[in-house]
Amino acid sequence: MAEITKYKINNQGAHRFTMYLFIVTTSMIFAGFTSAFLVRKGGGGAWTPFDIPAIFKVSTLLILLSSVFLQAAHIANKKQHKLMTAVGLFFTLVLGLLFCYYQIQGWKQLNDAGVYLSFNPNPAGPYFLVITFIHALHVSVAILFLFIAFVHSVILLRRSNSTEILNEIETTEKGILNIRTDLLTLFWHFMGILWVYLYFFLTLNLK
Amino acid sequence: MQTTTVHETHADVHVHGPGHGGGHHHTETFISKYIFSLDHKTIGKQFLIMGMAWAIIGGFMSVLFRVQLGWPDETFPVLERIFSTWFTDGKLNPEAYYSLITMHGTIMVFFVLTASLSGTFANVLIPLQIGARDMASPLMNALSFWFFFIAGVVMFASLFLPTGAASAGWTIYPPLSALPQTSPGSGNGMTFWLIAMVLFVASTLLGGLNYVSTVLNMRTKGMTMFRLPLTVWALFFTAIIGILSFPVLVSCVVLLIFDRGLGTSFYLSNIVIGGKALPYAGGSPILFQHLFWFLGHPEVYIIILPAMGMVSEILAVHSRKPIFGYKAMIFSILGITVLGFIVWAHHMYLSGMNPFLGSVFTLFTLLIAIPSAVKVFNWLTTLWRGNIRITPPSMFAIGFVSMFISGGLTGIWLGNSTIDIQLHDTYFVVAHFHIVMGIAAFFGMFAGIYHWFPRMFGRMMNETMAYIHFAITFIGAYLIFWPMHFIGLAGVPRRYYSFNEIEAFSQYGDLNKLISVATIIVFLGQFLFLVNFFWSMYRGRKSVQNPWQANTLEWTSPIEGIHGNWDGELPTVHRWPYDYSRDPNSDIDFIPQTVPLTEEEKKDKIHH
Repeated sequence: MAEITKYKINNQGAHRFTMYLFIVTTSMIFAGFTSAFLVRKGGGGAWTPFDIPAIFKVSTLLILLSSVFLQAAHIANKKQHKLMTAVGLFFTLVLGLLFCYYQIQGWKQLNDAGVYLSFNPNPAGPYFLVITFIHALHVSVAILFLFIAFVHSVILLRRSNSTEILNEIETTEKGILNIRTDLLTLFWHFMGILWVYLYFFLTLNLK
Repeated sequence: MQTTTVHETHADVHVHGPGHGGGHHHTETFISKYIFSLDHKTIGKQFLIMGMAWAIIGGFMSVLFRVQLGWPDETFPVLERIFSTWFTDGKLNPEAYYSLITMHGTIMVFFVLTASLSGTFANVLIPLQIGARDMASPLMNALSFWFFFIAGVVMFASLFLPTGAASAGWTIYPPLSALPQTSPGSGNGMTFWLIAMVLFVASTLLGGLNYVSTVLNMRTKGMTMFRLPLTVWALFFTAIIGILSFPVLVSCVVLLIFDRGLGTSFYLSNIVIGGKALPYAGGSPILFQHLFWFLGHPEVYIIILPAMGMVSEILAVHSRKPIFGYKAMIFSILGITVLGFIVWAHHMYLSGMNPFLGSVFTLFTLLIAIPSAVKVFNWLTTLWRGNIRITPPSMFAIGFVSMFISGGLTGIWLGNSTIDIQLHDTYFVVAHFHIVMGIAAFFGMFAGIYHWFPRMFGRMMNETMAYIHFAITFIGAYLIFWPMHFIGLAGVPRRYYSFNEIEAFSQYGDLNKLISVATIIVFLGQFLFLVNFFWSMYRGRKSVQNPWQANTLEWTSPIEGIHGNWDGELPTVHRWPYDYSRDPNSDIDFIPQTVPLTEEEKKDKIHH
């Protein structure tokens, strides 16, 4: 009776693929929202377009810039440059948080301009607010994972300076960080692209 | 009891020393092995057990409201003693009645026939039939079950709320579902319903992403897409439908949550309750229906496709014939998948939608008859002149085909926007969808359980009990739903609490009694299945390695169900899964997928 060897699930590549599928599901949520928007807009009844504050342009730039940093971190991680990975993740994190902050400021400005959520006789306002809010919610969850990846990268950075005994553990941990940054990069870029789509969709349809 | 000589060609895969049932799991505790397991086989069983519990709860709800519909004048003090909050003076409260039909629908459609059917068989069968160690992500797979479990806890808890569970019907149309003032169940019960469903969608997506990823990335050597068993094809497309349609339910539900809690008016407009005008303006209730049915219709294919896949496999195995039209089966699944996304508005012909849209949707709806008929034709031709082995799985699989034909034919009526004017929201609709997706899917599920029980638990189920279970369920299901067609044609509306006051409909009282009696008998009959299931799990006849003499890979994996599925190397696949009765001169009428092609076969292009 042969010894049962410890098998390893050969699922490299499957993770990336699953993330692509997850991106598809997330796209479907927003496809649902934006088609509801179009159906309602085209369906007649009260619908008053409004001006989208310029501050949303700032947040657009922020999220795109954060993608650049994350891509840099991703490349640095592949080249096993630990410091650059951590730094890249840090700036992505900061820019991601700034994006959320600017979104909140944008909603406040809209609120002051009379585009509010509750009992608004103009449905265009609530549509804008809910769609952008759900997007920001997705970004927030991604920020949480970004934070985990950042902490992870810092731990690896510190450990590499201490001992060499942990080399073996480190190799597997690095594997985990690779998967993390890999998947995170995919999702984060998607969040950026999704935001650009939503921004143009909403701007063009609220003219 | 070793099955045949063919199996010895790959005996090295499942050589086992004595007494090591769980010997590999030396580091596993009870909790890590049975509760927070990452093993797809255990997770599949978890889905199955949960599904059985939910089916009993959901089925019992139907007994309670059938009691009301069958005997609207009688009182039932016994039931009041047990369900004191739902009964007053021995009679079911109208509010409780609406909660029960809502929860019956929700539980059966989502918890039993979506989560449990796909969850059980995708988990048990996908890795085993494609020759993988486990799912692409075992962790996501386990999370899928636990999200389902928590969703179930929330949904179950809603039954005990003082205001009662959700009662707006499983389709939760606003404004009824959006405004707590409209009915008690639209208060906290609806909130619980929505929370449970968001968790449920998370579960379905975690599972679905994993199933698709696993099928595409984790197949063993030689397992090309066109060598996959039809079960895997069906579960694969089911997962794709779920991935594309369930997120839209999230969009739909999110907007409803905003309407309920934050005063938006996505679905609400011009509502006056009790003489008081509400401040909602500009919403569209039809928009809700579009978003809901964009999930809701594909949902019925999510329910029926796994059953179709299993029935295809089981019919081929038990009639000892290659499945007729393997590729036609795959392309008809694909056809159903694609068409399933563009027919949703046939649920909305009478909603006030543009009638022109109705005719477009009629066209697409009737087109679905084509792939469905292809499948029925292929099942019948697979059975035709086969060496049919009468076994519990084959009985239920044939029962599935019967139900699918009966229910499918009435679908052609209902798909017509003009005929739907008469039949909309009558018992005809209830009969149609129960037979074609409820009963049929249950038959597929039972067929699957009886067929793969030895794979899951290493023992056979008792056949006598299984045949009695089949007879009760098959005859009983027709007794319940066949008469409903006629009362539906007569215009009796669904969801009504009582027809006593309506002269035209109260004349069907006897028919309603018959339906209710049949419901109770069929419900009790299911306990025979439960007894058989749990008794066989511990006391059933020990199964041999390949009890049905089937070709697919799951029967080459050690019957004890080790983590990792195969000792040593993964099996290599050399042929498609349906080489039954190839050689009329041979005693062995099946050639497993792991058997290499012979020289003769290599010349013959038919064999994959």
